Amino acid sequence: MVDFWEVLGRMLTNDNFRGRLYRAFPKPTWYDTGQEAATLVNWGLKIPAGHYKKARNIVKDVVKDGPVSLQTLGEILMVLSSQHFRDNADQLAKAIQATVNTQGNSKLFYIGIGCMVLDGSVRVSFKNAIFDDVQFGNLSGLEQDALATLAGNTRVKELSYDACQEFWDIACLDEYNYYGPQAAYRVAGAPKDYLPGPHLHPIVQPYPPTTHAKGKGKKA
Amino acid sequence: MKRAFLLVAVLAAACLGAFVWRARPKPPYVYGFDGRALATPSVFRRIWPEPIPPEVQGNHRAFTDQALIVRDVRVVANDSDFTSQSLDKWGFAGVIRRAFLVGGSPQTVTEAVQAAQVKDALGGELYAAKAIFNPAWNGNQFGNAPVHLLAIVNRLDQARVDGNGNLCGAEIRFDYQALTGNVRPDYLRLIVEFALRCVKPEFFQGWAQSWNGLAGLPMDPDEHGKYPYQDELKTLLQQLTAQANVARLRANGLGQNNDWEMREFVFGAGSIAPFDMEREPNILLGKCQDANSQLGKFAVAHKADILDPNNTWDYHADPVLRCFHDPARPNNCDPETVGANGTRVLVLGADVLDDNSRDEVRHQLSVNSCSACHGLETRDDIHQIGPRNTENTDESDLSGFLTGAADCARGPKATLNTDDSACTAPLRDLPKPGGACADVELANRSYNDLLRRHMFIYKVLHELRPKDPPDKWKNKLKMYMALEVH
Repeated sequence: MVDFWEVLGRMLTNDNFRGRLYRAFPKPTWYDTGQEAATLVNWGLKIPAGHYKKARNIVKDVVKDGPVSLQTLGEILMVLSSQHFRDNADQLAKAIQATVNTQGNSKLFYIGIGCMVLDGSVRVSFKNAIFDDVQFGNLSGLEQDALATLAGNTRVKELSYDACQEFWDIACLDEYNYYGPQAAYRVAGAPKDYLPGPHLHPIVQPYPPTTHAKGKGKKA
Repeated sequence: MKRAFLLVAVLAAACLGAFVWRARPKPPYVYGFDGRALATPSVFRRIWPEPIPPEVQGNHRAFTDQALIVRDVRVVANDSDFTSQSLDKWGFAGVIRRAFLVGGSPQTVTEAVQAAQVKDALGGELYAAKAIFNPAWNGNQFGNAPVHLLAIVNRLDQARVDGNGNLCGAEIRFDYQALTGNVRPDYLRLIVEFALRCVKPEFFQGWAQSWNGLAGLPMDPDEHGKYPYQDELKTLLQQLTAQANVARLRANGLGQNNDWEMREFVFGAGSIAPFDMEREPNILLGKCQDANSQLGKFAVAHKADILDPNNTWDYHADPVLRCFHDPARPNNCDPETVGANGTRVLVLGADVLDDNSRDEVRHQLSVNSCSACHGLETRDDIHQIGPRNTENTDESDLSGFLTGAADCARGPKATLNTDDSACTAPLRDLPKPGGACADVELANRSYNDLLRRHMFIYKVLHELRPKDPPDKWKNKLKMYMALEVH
């Protein structure tokens, strides 16, 4: 998750990086979807292995100090499959770069930009210059001021809304602090037909695991 | 030798006098109010040794339910007038129509025009309205708006005594919850406020007497099939809203990414338009408000006014406590609350005022803002009045700030505290901004706001006469006033 925030943050602040990704996957097309096994209810995108490799080669040129997960590459490839997302990202990048200095900042700064685009509660914390409480206290003073300015920019807020909604929809209601009292209150006050809680942790196989349910140490 | 004897005798007499004074018969001291918060008995007995009267304690639950925050489903959900779609009744349609009339809109303006204006105003400002509320509102009739009434709120306690002895600023509020939010069940709140004109004490006492009288009336039908409480309440609302000179609409909605947006609108002559958020300092909570900050300077310059419950100084002239809606203004802001996950409140630096008054001033500036009162300052989680179910079987819960619940948890009427219990907001250990704020002490504050509001009305009715001088009114009420900073 954190590496995805960083890659998204860098996409929005580095036109060259974003352009390389766009050019590497020039025709946005929707991926086919499928299930890894018939017993599972979760679905996934059938992204060719070559796409991951191509994306990694580009991403590693900007994220140089550590690994980037396959999950993050998959998320990037997913958003690149939408022309609407690309157009929105271009507008968001323009709004961000017109508001603050986005070059030469720390890794945490780019993580912060990606995080606040996807999480309104973090954005409002930044807007109030509250950084320690959301574990961004190691940003420099200038970086904190820049993020507070960005978080208070109405255009950035609106474009961030759109960016999050297109692919994450209800997950945009998730919070950085998932089970804070606000989320619990929303559920407590919900009508009877209200379905999910504020956040469900994704799983890739039936839970509890069959190996544990049927007997210790036995493989299914 | 003689002088020494006299000195010893005087000292002995003083000690004896002090002992007798301390041992004198005393009333059972209870918590007393200091602005909105409660002072502890140990502090309070020195300055205001007054118990809560037995008739207030014994009647508090009924008084709260019937005269302070009316949310019984027999009224808000099951009375046909309060759910009516008629413009002449007390449903959402009738209340909004009245608000437009207060704003100066002519009777000839149609409901369709006004409903379109409300939709445009809300949808233009709030994501929750644009994406969920307005699409679910069929046509341009107020009666189709997807809302239900949560409570009718008596805010006589908002009044202050002006220089002429008039009481100004009381309010009547109608609290609504938007419906249809299956994914976000409590996604938008609307509060229609009627601010009442300044009136002479005899009028004000009459209002207080009318509310007080409601507390004793039954909500169930009598032998003639009449509903004494509901009928009397409607009569009173008719009288009071006719005395309003300003009508506002306050809205608080979930943003798209789980943030909370707040807006205020004012009903005008033929329109409803966004207005500045008053009493909402445009500050960064994570930054220290030191002596060089706008708010720090404001606190020093206006300390006396801030701490005077009857202040009539026009803060509107100063942008510090006003979050301007106009993007062209320097203090333009898009007010959003941090929400219940927040961990910060306003902090004034150690270089602002002295240790004795700094936290009092800080508290008044903070608790009077929308975002802090509906947040950490009162240990609230966005809403002071909880949602209610769509089956219309249960009334709304109330926040601990209102009920005085010892754990500050939201709860039903059974949690109303009438004794010395209170909801305490633990501010002392909150993280503070650095710089001049690093070592500043924040006092924990305790609340039982409905008891305070009850006491306010009790004082108006039992300890004041219309012909009493303005200073007596001020002094009698000052401990129980909302101490609004505006």
